[in-house]
Amino acid sequence: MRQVSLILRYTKTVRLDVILSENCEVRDITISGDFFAYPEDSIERLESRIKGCSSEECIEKAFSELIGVTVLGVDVEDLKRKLIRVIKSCGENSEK
Amino acid sequence: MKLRVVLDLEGRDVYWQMAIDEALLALRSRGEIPSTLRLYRFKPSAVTIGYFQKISEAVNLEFLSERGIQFTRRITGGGSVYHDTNGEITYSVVLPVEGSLTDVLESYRIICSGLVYALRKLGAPAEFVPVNDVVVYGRKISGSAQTRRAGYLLQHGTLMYATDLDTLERALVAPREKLESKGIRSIRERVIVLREVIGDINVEKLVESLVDGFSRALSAEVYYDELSESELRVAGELVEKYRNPSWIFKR
Repeated sequence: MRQVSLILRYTKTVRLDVILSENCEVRDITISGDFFAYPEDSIERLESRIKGCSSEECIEKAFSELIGVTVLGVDVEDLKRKLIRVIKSCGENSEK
Repeated sequence: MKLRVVLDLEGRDVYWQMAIDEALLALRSRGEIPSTLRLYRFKPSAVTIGYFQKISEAVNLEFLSERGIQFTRRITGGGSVYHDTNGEITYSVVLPVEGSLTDVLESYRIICSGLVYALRKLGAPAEFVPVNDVVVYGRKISGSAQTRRAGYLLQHGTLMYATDLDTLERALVAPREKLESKGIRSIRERVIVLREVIGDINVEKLVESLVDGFSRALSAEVYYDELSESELRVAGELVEKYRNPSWIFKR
């Protein structure tokens, strides 16, 4: 298991805490910070969709379901890219 | 529009205050109460954290425990707040999401302009800074947070007039990255209280200015009322949630 924590600064601050399995699958993720999201439970649903992801496609799909959700203070596209990078770099490190 | 105003300034604990705000939203969304502005205080002083915050990242738990300062999680996003009984007035407002309040960012601007009008009337050159801050001389004097349910919104926020900034700074944790991005070293450098700007505060006058400010911001005619039994009963059903560690420590 590997734990990765990232602090991302947008208008608001987001902390990503990701736990990855040995084969780089997201076991757990918490997206926390002082941002706003409407409706609020959309973030919990996003976290649930990300759990089990080990590929860029899976993360893309998880985020694509944020339709109709307003997130303030966060660059959601950038957040998604950072998360994809976490998974990719886990895979690259595993191959070494 | 008519806006009911409840001056609830005697003070209640943080769990009750958050429960009352949630009760007002629930009752407003069920059409059981009119649009309402409530002004209140936290007694004793307390801390609230935003819905998405990780508690260990938002507050200094050791300090809160040492001082016996109560804390809970809000149903609204945003950051952690120190609510000083003798230095802060909190407002909450429940309104239908319609017209210019439909857009979330615009609704923050409109509601926060009530604070801006009030502060300017008192002689402080306040400005709204999106998403949710009101600043004076570039320093935050008020922060607000909003949630929406079933076509209605609850927005609540602070106005610091004489907050003990030493306690605030010790109680809250600001991410180093956030402070650095604003080119400051401490929370204290980022905030200001009204007393620093206009001198001694007459709380009655402050409350009156806030009511006038919100009335103007919302183009509303105000009338005064008290919390009803049903509002307190619904709040009583919600208060345990705010005391429950599984809610407070959920992140």
